Amino acid sequence: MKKTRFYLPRRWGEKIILFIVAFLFLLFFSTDFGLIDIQKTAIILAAGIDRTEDGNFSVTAQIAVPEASKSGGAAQATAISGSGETIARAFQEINTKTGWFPKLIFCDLIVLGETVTQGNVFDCLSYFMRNEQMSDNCLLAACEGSAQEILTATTPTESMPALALQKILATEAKESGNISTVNLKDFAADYFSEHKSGYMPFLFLLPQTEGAQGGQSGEGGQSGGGAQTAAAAQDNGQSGQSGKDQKSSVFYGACTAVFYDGKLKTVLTREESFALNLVVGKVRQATLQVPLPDGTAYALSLTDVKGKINLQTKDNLPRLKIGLKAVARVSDCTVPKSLENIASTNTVREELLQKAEELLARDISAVFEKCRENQCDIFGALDRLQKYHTTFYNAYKEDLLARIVPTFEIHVRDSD
Amino acid sequence: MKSNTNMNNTTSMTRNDKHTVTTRQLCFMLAFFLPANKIILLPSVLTQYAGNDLLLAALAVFVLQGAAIFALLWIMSRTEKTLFELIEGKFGTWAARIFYFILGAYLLFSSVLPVTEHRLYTQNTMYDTLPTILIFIPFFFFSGYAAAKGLQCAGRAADVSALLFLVSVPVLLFMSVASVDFTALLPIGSAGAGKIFNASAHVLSWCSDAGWVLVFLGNVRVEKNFLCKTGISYACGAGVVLLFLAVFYGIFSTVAMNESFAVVKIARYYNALKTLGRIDYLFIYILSLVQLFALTLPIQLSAYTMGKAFNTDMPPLFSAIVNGVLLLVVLFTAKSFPSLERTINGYLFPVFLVFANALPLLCPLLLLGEKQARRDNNPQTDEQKDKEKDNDNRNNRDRKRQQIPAGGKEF
Repeated sequence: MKKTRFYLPRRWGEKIILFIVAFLFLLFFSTDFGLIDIQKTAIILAAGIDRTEDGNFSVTAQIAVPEASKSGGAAQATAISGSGETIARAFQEINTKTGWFPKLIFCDLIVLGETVTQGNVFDCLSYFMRNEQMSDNCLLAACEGSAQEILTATTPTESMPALALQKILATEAKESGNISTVNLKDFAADYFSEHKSGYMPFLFLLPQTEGAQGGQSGEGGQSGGGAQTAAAAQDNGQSGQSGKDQKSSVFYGACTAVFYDGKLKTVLTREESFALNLVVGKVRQATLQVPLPDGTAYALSLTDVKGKINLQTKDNLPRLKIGLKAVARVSDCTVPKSLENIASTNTVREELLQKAEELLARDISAVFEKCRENQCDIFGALDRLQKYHTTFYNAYKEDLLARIVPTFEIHVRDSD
Repeated sequence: MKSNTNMNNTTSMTRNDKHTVTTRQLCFMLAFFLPANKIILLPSVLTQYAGNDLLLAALAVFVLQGAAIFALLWIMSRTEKTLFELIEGKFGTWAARIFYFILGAYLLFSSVLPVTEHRLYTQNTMYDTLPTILIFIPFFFFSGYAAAKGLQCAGRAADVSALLFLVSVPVLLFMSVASVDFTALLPIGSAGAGKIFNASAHVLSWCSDAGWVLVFLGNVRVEKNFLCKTGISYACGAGVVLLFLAVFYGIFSTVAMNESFAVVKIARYYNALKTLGRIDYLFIYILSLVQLFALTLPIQLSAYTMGKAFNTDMPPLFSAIVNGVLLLVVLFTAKSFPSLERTINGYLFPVFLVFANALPLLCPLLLLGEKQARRDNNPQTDEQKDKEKDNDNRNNRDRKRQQIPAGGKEF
């Protein structure tokens, strides 16, 4: 059977390729690739969410303004608010008011105000989960009062509150056990799991005294030049550039807000949060204060921290074993010690170790009981029941927390 | 019978090296093309139907595909004939041409979902704002060029892809490992057999690789340990997908079904990214080149089979037709990917069951009577052939010995 042959002349091929390249260049330079001019883009660094009196969401967006600065000073930032029945509507309002297209790709923090945490926080968080452009690696925090206050505060540590907060809630802080840092993905995974319980840092705004302010300004130099944060981010969407007349504040995030079914149930104290972080967080090095009956106090540096949670169903009784192992060394003491004593930091007195274990056991027990009272299965007992004791799952799933007999096994040893 | 044999010989002679890939290249295709496009939407779709049992659902499909692919590899190891020649030998030229036309249409159909999926993936993950559909059009120029170049081009693409895949995927998996909790996959089997098989049925379109292996029958230079090499390559490809799925579910657990473009998401929790920025995208871009080659393969094969069906040697023309049709489909389904995905995976999955599973498994039947036909055509028995081969080997050895000086090496 004869075959028909078809050849493309060589010169034609070159012409076609040239034409294609020219066409692509045309598309690119005419911005037909769909790029949006950076001058019209609002790079959102953080979003604060509150509920207004009429039940709408009020979103405060901390926006980095991408404008060239002649002085080469700190990056400019502003906070704009918008409100609406949904978060999307609120962002749309920001766009309408400013002409800036809100871009969430750099949004690394979501602060939830008190009015939001009273209800199910996934009313608003689901918007961020749906957004493909935004990373669900962004940090979450609840706060006392309104999220707008937090994001419009003037802080001596950074030019923008969002950046200061991101430092406070950073993974490094989590690894020291001081902050219960959590991202959107992990919080959502807990919410959609069997136990429906989760936690996030709880932020307070601590006003700085005048003296402290002056001192910090003088030393740091960062706060003096960086006070360009928007002063007022009112509901009407005004923005400002100077924070000189504002009182400086710092953020405190050592407490932990505990949620069940998306609603804030209780707030753990600093000590309880620390104990919780040691058990469930990946803590690398933490400092534990140990007061002794003689009035002296020691600071123990804990390393090799390993938390373990184990659920057993022996004798038809669910037992939750919460274990913690750590290696301690003396970090500090309230009374002066001999040089020999200072040199042997790796040797820790048995009394101190015992006291540290007691303290940790007390705090972990307090966390468990507080959560049990509020039906928050923060240690994931129900998940463990489903994964490892499937046969008991249906029998215990309704009232597992009430049935559980907790045991706490804390082992703190020195490195000698 | 005689006329049939003559025709076979003629067809074998017209087949040239342009349409031949090596065993190594086929191995690379199975090991690196196979997983490349199964790590975008497939993980979240599997999770949607099978929950934490996504691995079981994937395993079921891979076992089925493995059997189908092994059947085809076995045929390749037994005969050098192409599928066209085998059908032609059994049912005549017209039957072969009709079958190749249908196979070409199937290959075109099988590439609809991956191409539209890739368009969505590119638009959503490589642009921070939603760009126009135009940005995906250059793909069709690339695909058109590749399809006009024949099967050998696919082989070369596999060679290039091997390196790119080995550079990108291990790094992405390494970046993800720290955030993985494999206990999220427990308890195994909790979804139940019904849900697991339902999930398997829904991902048949993604796991239909035997469909394209069909076209390579007789187009692969079979080398020593062919079955072993290709079998291990397939196992590696499937293993990478299973590992990826385990890592994916280990990271996202209960929210996994919401994480559509898995490959760009698994590495973003790597701690160093906070300081370095999204360097994982560098590896995602490298991997996207492999995905591009893998995406082009069924299109290339569709153009090739169409050319065979019409018995013409006009690859550019068929490449233009196939890519033109695909471009139109992509343009028309630009805003309705979910319904397209639902239609193909939910209702049209039997098409993949037939072409990528049943058909390859039935292909060995085409070899029935082949041995007898060979004997009839060539009265020399297999024993005689073996003897001749031994004699040849002995002669070669003797010749070499004469060339090498006694007690010394050849210099």
